[in-house]
Amino acid sequence: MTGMHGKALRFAALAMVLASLAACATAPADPAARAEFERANDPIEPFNRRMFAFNLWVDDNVGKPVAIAYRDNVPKFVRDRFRDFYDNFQSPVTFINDVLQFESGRAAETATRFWVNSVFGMAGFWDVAGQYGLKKHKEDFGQTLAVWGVKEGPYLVLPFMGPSNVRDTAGRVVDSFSNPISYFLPPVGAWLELAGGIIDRVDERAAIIEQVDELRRTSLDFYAAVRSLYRQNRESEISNGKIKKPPLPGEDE
Amino acid sequence: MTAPTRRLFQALFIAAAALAFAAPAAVRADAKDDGKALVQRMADEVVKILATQGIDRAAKEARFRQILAQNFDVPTIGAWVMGPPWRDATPAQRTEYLKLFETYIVKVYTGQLSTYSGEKVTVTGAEADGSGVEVTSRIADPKNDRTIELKWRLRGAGKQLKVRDVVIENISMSQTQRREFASVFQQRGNSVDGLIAALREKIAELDRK
Repeated sequence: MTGMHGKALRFAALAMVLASLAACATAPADPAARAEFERANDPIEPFNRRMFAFNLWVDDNVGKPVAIAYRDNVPKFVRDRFRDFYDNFQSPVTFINDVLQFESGRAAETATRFWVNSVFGMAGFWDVAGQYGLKKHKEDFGQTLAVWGVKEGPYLVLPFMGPSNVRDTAGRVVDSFSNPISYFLPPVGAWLELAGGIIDRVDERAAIIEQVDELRRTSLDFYAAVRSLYRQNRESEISNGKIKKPPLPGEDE
Repeated sequence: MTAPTRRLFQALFIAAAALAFAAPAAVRADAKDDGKALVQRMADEVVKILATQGIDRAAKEARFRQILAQNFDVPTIGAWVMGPPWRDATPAQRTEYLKLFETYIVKVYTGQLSTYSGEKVTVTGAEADGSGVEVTSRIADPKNDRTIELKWRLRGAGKQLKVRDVVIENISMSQTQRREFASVFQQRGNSVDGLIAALREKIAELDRK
């Protein structure tokens, strides 16, 4: 459990640093500039940009090279087994959040997937349920808070973890404590959460190597592009893909 | 007014009335099919260009530029992506910006498309979307064992439907670009010329590598 306390302490320290920085930001006086400032939802942009640059440096030197090595050296079969296992291991978190969001149908789906894959999929290494049409989905506590009506709060770039906002950062803290498997199987669960979490990050990074390279190469402002992508992607996840149509060129503001 | 002139005016009036009432109705009825056909035709053309061996980048870009001009409402997208500064931009700035914007988009898409290895776009449906149509399609991403959903939002431009936005997995390209351009505009001293300069620099950079 010391690991979890460590996590909580790190988040508390981070929240304090951010709160002190947030106090320094000032909005521009010009109305158009002010509207833009509010739309960007990024009052601590100078700090976020520095953190973003730091994360890019980490990604250039560790994240991306490791992801490339993983994709090139670990056979796809093994990567798929790991992906299925880890998603199954973390699916109780999704289940809890399905329930908290009053999505009974999706909760039942997640529960069925969990026991089918745990029993017939060799402890989750095979996504058997997915092959029978019960597709996997993910929910986290940040999304639950959003469903409950909690606003996102200012945009935040977290060290090592990347784009977030105040609401989703709080959600991450809760998610890191909320997997019941970690309580039922303390040493194994904690170990799986740590090691699994690292491989999960590598695997997710490996899935978007070319896309990230391309976006970084072509974007006019990579930081602003990622900020917008993060927000749009979260809106899509929160609404489970049933997103209202985005504003359209020539018709909206 | 002489009889022939009167008949001419009557004919013109009838023609105008017919255009005003019949044409939109016709568009509405066939818009979904038109939209689907447009997206499929465009996708096939792109795949054909990507599959052509020994075609250099300049030639590729020239072909993409044609496809873009024919099927995308570039002036409307460009103006919207610039955002509020568009209102205050001079005609010369607008012309210059739109020219650069089109070139930039061509280069962005040429780059993005080159990461795909010719997977086919499958048009899966179309639905009414405000005064226009939204066409849904899928493209395989074999590297990651998944399919990507692409939505094309079309509006009438003259007689023809044109694309106003491409939405990839619920991420709007126009929206992302607008946010990005707003940020650059701000960094360049809230100046349209600054934004234009940034675009020009980016294009030059993309040409180098």
